[in-house]
Amino acid sequence: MAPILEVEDLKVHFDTYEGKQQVLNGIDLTVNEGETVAIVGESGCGKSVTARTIIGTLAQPPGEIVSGEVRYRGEDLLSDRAAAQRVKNEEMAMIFQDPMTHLSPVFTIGTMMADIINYRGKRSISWMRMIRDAIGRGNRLSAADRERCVEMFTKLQIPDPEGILDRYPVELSGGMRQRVLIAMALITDPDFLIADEPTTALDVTVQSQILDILAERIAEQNLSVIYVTHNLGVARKLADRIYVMYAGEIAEVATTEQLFDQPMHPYSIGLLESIPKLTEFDSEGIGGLIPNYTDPPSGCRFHPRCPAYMEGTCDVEQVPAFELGDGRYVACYLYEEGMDVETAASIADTEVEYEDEELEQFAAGQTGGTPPWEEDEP
Amino acid sequence: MSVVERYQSFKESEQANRYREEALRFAWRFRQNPMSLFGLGMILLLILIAIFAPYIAPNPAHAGWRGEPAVDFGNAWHEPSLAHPFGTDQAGRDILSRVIFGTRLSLILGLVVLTIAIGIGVPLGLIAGYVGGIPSTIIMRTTDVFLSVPPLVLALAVTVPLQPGLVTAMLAISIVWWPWYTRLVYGEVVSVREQDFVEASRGLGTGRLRIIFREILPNVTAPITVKFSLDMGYAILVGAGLGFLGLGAQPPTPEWGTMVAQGRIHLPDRWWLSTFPGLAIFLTVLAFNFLGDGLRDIFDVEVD
Amino acid sequence: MSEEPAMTTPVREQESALLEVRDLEKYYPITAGLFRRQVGSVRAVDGVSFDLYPGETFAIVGESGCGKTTLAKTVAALQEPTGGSIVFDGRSIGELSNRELKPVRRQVQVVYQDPASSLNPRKRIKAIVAEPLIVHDIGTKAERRERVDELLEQVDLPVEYKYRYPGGLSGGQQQRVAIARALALNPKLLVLDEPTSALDVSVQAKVIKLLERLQREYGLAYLIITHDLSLVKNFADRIGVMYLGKFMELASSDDLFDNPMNPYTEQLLSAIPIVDDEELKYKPAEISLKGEAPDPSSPPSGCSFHPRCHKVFDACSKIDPAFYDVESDHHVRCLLYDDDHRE
Repeated sequence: MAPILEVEDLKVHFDTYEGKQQVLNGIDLTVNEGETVAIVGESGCGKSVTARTIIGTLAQPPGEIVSGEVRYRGEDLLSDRAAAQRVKNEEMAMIFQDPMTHLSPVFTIGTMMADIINYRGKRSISWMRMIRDAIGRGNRLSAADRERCVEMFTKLQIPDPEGILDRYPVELSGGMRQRVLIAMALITDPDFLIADEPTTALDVTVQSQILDILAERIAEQNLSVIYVTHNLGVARKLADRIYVMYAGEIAEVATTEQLFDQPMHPYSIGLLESIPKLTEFDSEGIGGLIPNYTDPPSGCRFHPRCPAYMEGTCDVEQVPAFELGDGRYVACYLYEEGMDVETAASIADTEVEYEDEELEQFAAGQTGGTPPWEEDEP
Repeated sequence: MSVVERYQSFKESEQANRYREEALRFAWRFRQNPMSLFGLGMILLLILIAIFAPYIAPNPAHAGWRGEPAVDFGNAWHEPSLAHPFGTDQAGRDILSRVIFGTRLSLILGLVVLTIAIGIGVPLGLIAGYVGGIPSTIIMRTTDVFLSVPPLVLALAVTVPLQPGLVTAMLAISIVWWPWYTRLVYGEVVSVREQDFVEASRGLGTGRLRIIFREILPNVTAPITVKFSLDMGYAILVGAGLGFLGLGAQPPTPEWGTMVAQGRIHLPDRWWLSTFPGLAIFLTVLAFNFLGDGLRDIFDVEVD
Repeated sequence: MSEEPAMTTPVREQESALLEVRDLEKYYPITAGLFRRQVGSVRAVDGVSFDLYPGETFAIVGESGCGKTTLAKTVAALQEPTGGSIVFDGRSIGELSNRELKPVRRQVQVVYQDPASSLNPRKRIKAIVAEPLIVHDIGTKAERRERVDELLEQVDLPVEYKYRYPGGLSGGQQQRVAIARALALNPKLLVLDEPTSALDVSVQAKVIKLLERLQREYGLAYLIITHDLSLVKNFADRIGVMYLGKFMELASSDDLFDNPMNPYTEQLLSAIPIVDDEELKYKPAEISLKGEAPDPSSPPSGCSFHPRCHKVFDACSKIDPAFYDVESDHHVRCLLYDDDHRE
């Protein structure tokens, strides 16, 4: 499999009152042709910034790309603006978390579809054409394009695909809007799709439907996908490989199967344990907070929260990504380059243990008992 | 513990650190906007001038302060010179001195007018916004009536039956001004009141007045502050307008608008009579606008 | 309108319920035209009954728009019901005036979904946590200050945070402040409205642990509102699944997961994205989901869920099912459990 997108050592800083926030600290990421890659992490870990930098919608300022390359089929999108423009126009598409803010409330779905079909991929459009379209509402869908839209809507299981072209976004439910947004992204037949939490705002039953049709589209249109999400369950359903991100760094890269079978990085382990499960939910969560990006912890950015923290090792230098025997990468000093999976798994099992501080405190009598503040009933 | 010790221990405390950090952050954001810094500097200068007017003015007696007329006909119509930087007027009075004393009047006028306007407008806006229903309708339709007449015209109408003078002018402008605050606060309250913390407070059994003044009011002070700053300039302008039309402060009071009006008949030959008070109005209004714009950016609020 | 049997949990029959909700209705009028004539109503809560015992956790699970938040607010006396009754600790809330409600409000406190909105951004933490004490006129100023420190310790927050504004705290810390405020009056019942859905999972786990500890220590009863079935599986004692203002299924947590009876519950379970293959044993066999919750102002005829149901049959669109007590304390609103209509 040839890589379609390679991100190398991407560093992005943000200018704020506190100073320069080092939001992305050397991201390496590869997406192969036809592969779905999920970037998973909690809020503020930089996953959306990564997606936005790739598609070129990072706000600059306050953002600043300090170093790195984003190569799409060999062309560096960060240095070659023309290539970036062309790739963005013709080969990439994006879907967003909140469809309502990305659908204009004053146009019908049909008008917006027509805009996309008529303008997308064209590098220059004559002023006359634009004025004519704007004034005369001449920007109508041709019969063939209309059919294409309807076909796409049908594939996305939108009821009444013909009628929806004449509706406004407010007339649609949340799930339908998200489907329309997906249709807009896919109608021009892109090769590469970036999805930024497209199902987060939806109910679980609707989310499940959307994920199913998205998976179907990805397979059928042979899309390469970056799927950004905070929900590991969603990533599990859709992704071939998963990048676990923490505080602007990649903590672990593994195939979906590998990751859920045996997470290696202490953060991945804690994250996976924290998810409420149908079988049991008795997790401690991960103590502490995501670090301050202006003055991030030295060495591994996770070390202040890590249960397997080794003083003098973890807090010194940025951790390189070690490749384990099964081809996955872990940025953690518990492991070594080329370590075989069984050894690594046993290290993960023995070294990484999230403790129940609260229960210990409770047992030690440091907190509570009966409330000291007893007041009389009114 | 002595006061000094208490101060020392406070200085070290987390509380003091928080307050210091908040102050620094505010100062940083202020510095990001050089125009507002300029505005603030100008205003501080104006305030100092107003306070120390008798000591700064080269000829305090000429100011006509408190309506005390002073004349020096021998020195009438001097062009601006080193002795009289702004020149002298038809009665030989030093215009610089009069402009300096005028600062006092303008700032007092703005302050009094806006204090009254905020004192009336803000509570009404809070009530209309939070209580809703019939009180809201009555209050808001009344403000609509006030706002449908141009401010200067309404102020003129108020002054006509009264003795013209500075106090009358202030009263008239206040009456014109409060509805703006009612409307501003109403809009803010309507959006704040939907927030969960207001409902949480109701869930505690908090009384209406406490919710309005302790929960909601702190959330609308930012736009009020911004509008206050912007309005200081406009209120001074309207005050000067009334003075110019002869319905505000009366000569020999050194009110800028009145001075511009008096010098107007001597234009363009004796240009300095009107120009310098006019410049003073211009700079003051500009300074308050700069400050207001800066505050608007800092607080990140919308004020119409 | 509803023919629910009065519900009691046999195990606790001797104990008296802390909260008894009976046939609760909350309709919002839909008005139209110049004269705001009422043309219909949204049945946000449509005949809901349940009991909540001291120290118990009752979860209400449903998707957006199902009326679960309205139900919570009505129980917390933040909204007035349009029908039915709420009896809290022997007192009927509906009949009380605002003044008489005040002592009841001390016993029932709400923790909201979004702490950024439920904490006043312009007040310091110390003022926010002390507010309930001030409103109910408890303690002197010094005592209140002490109590604030104590409450912050209770929720595992550094005491120095009291000088901060909510904006200076992370989401999880803000939610702890909200919990501290709710605890200030030593309530008997906490209404938790999606208390963790605005938080990251690693933080969510910590907050849930904290809530469990507080329940152990103070014997609090929880009424938790959530869309996440997996969250309440181990947290709640009993669970009510809500759809369009009505309970579709009500059972003990174990019963509900071991033996989901209502097709809607099955769909909810099947839609949960899982992370562990062992969870599959709680998932029903592959169900193809369709549609979204309909507009509550014009619910479908018959069973309100029938257009989306994978087990629908003819009678479903005509007959509104009752709430059948199928097994001991496992209630289901579905015609499949009605012997007269089942095919």
